[in-house]
Amino acid sequence: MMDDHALVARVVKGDNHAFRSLIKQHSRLVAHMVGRLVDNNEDREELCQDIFMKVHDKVGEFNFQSKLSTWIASVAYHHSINHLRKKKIHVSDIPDEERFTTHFTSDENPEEQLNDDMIDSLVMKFIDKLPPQYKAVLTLYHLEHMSYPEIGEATGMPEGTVKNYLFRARALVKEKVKKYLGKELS
Amino acid sequence: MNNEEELQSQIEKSATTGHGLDSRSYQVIFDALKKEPSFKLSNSFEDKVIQKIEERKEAAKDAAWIWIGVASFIIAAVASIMLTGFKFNSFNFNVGTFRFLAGYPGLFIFGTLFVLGLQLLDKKIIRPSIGE
Repeated sequence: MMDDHALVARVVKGDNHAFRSLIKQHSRLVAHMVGRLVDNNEDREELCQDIFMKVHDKVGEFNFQSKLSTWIASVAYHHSINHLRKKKIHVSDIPDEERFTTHFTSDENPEEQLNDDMIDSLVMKFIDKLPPQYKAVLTLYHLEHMSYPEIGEATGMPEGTVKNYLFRARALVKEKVKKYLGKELS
Repeated sequence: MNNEEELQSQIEKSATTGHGLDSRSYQVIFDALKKEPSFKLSNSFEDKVIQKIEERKEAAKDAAWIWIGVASFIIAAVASIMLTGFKFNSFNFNVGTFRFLAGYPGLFIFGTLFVLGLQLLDKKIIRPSIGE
């Protein structure tokens, strides 16, 4: 596999074969980010295409201050957030902690017994209801195994905010899951 | 670090502290978060992106030719005005130049049909043969 410097140099020169290889290496990361942040399945693949076109346009400006994957994650994150804004989905603020927690954890009334697969999909359903900033942090941390500073670079958030969002997101989902597991155990 | 943070940290390190409901809930969440999302890109994804980039390059080339054409037209117009000493305030539009056509109606009809014929030839034969 070509190293990032050589790969970027060839893409800048207009080598489509090198760009194809760049897409192959990072398509999973982009698909994870878009798949988690954007609900509409029809928009997702096109959005991923647009992200790679933006990467193609801007790769000449990439200065290797971070990993190439972190930079691509940043392009994917900001492009997805802009897409949500264009679709008039409110993303600018993280909701007020107490009100959001109450709202997030109060609208479930678990009745059914769940098996493991159902619990997994239920967890994902709860995660889908979180603000996009939380979803992005969870995805980069748990699926892409990025460090806090890398997530900070990708999202433009301070490291403390990354840690806080990660903690809060998991705690919020836990409160929901607890209700179902509690029912199961009783 | 508060208890909740401590618990998250321990579950993450697989050092579970007990079988309480909180611990179990976090275990379920950490396991679910590790799983690949259902959304997958199509097999031809790379081809589609490369094709879009190529199409954009072609469109940029076409736009460049259009701007070259517009610029050439403006340069030619300015050069004509300067070389012929044309003055806007003394310009009167008349059809005197074309008055000779009145004596040759056949030539006018032939000219019109000839241009239409060329357009038809271009549309039906030339453009399909170059794949446009």
